[in-house]
Amino acid sequence: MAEAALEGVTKRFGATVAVDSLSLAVADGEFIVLLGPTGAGKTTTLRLFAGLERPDAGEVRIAGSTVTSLAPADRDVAFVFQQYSLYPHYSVFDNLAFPLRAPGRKGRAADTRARVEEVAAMLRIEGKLANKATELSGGEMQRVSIGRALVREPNLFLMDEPLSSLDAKLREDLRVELKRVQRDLNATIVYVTHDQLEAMTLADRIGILEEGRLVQLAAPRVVYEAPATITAAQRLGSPQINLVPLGALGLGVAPHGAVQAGVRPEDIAVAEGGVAANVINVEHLGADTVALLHVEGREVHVLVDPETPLTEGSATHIAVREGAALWFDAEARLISQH
Amino acid sequence: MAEIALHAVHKAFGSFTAVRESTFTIRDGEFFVMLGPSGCGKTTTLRMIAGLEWPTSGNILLDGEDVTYNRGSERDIAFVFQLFALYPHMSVRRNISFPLRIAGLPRREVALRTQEVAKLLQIDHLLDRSVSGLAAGDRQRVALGRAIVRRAKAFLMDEPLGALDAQFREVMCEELRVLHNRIGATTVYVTHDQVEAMAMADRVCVMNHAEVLQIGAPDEVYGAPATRFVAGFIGSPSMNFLPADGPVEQGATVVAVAGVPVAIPATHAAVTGREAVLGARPEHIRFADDGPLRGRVLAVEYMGARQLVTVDTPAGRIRVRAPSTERVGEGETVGLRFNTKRLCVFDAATDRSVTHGGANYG
Repeated sequence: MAEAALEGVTKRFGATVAVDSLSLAVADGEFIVLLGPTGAGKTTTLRLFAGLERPDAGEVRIAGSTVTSLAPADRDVAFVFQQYSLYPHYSVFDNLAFPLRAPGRKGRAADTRARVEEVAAMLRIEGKLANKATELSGGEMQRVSIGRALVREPNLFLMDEPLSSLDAKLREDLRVELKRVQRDLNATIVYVTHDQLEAMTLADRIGILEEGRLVQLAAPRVVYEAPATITAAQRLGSPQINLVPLGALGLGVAPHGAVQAGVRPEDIAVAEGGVAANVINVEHLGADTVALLHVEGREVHVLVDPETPLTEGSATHIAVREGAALWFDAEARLISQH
Repeated sequence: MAEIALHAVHKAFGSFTAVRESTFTIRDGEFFVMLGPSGCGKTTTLRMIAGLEWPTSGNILLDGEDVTYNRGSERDIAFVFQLFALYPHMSVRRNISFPLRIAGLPRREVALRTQEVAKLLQIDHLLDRSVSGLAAGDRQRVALGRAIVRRAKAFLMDEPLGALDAQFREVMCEELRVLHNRIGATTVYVTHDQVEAMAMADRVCVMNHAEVLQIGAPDEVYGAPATRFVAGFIGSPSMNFLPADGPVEQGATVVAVAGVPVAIPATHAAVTGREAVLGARPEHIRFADDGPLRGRVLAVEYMGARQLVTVDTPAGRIRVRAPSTERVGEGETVGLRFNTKRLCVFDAATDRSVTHGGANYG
């Protein structure tokens, strides 16, 4: 494993700037997740690391050396795509062993077997080694794809929405596995997703991308609690953060320069003597209840305990938890409270 | 408006039973969600209500009238397939009015109803715009408008949000539900996504292997699941299932897992043999230094307002959902305590709940 970095990298496609003078340093053994809407430059960033795209400006560094002009095969990186692409006529074992048998890498058969078995055990597919790839479920196929990247122990793993084609339960299981395997191997991973839950649970640091720029790069908790911009604040949290003007929801005095406030739905509580609100809709999600309220002429989401008495069409009162508001300036940047 | 009743509706395709003897009533004005994994029979049920399939046996009543073998077009039911495919070359007005124009309604009537629906959806100022230039949210409202402009007795929807990404789906769920609150038309909605079902339904009908397992309000199916399948299918992360030690008597208030006694709501039936399973949702377990069941923290997953903590215990791997304000570290040893009144016990042999969940079946 090794560290990797983009330094002032720009990539244009015709008139479109896909990645805009982006610098991103990934530490050895770090799990970085790039999060952003479609077209933010996430996949292009990944492809620049891989060498599948050449930058128009800037440098790509992997394991201490500049690899900007090297071909993908010479960078010692492994790429896992959204759609698993296995060799259908091969067994699971042969699919996993394939990268170890490539010309120039060929090692002893016993070593290959040992390594494949080790990786298969890690991903809990050791019982399927003799199966043909086509005899696997979707989740197992994606495990094999990930396994095929892992057998090689490359400098850097690049993963482009590897879990997004799986159903919800499977995605959850594989997410936990992937994190555990990454820890055990101390693997360096750059991972692209637009699933915020994946980003928060997998990442050591989340990179928020917006129009080819890196808006914030920080631990999930930091991005959630102190988002650098309004768009970063909206990227994490479900339902999305409420954006309200100064003075709304009984918020106290705004700091100097603030033009807008953000309040997370879980930071609003039903409180007697609070601001009057009408309940438009209530969603009982089991562990939580989400309600849409009409307050002071605008719509506000609250996330409350399922025992909270809220019914559609009724009136209630709410208050924002002391100190919970985030304040943003005219450029939509967070005003630090510390 | 309409009430839809199914009496012993059965559908077989050759030797394969798609829907087994289903009897239930969808109330007038209700938002009724049919939930289950693929192949469970939910879409077949919907297609029989729509008149796109005929049952092998049984009856379907629409407002008391037997429509079992009526054609779809004779039922005054709107089937919404692809909610989000608009005609890109048409204006908002022509998109919304399309079903009325096809039905050959007089021009005045078409204009009036289109206006009315656009107003309801707050897009009346966009009527003469081309749909291709609209913001995503407005496009969805146009699609909704086109679906509801017919004023059918009932709306049937088959995974209409399936193609959308998570964040957008959430927005559309709410929009659909708010619209339903306003127009109150009977809606039958099919999905395999339990979050959608919980968010929108007045009542959820959970199906598996051609059978209806439980029908109830979202908090009922979540809090008092009738079977272990229902308990596991609804809720994310899934309910924790822990094998209980030995048989459980009727009226028991304690079961043991890995030798640790856990207080439970009194059981209304016995579980013989070694087939009892304790079910505990991740948010109904909390950390307590003196908690009787102890384990080692394997992973802490931060999720914003909440965190998900995976703990390895002698009873198995347990996931705990706790506020992010509680600081727990990986590798730490923790004690766990259960919220007694929210626990379930299942009989693994029958899959049925023997705690409160068993009471409100159907």
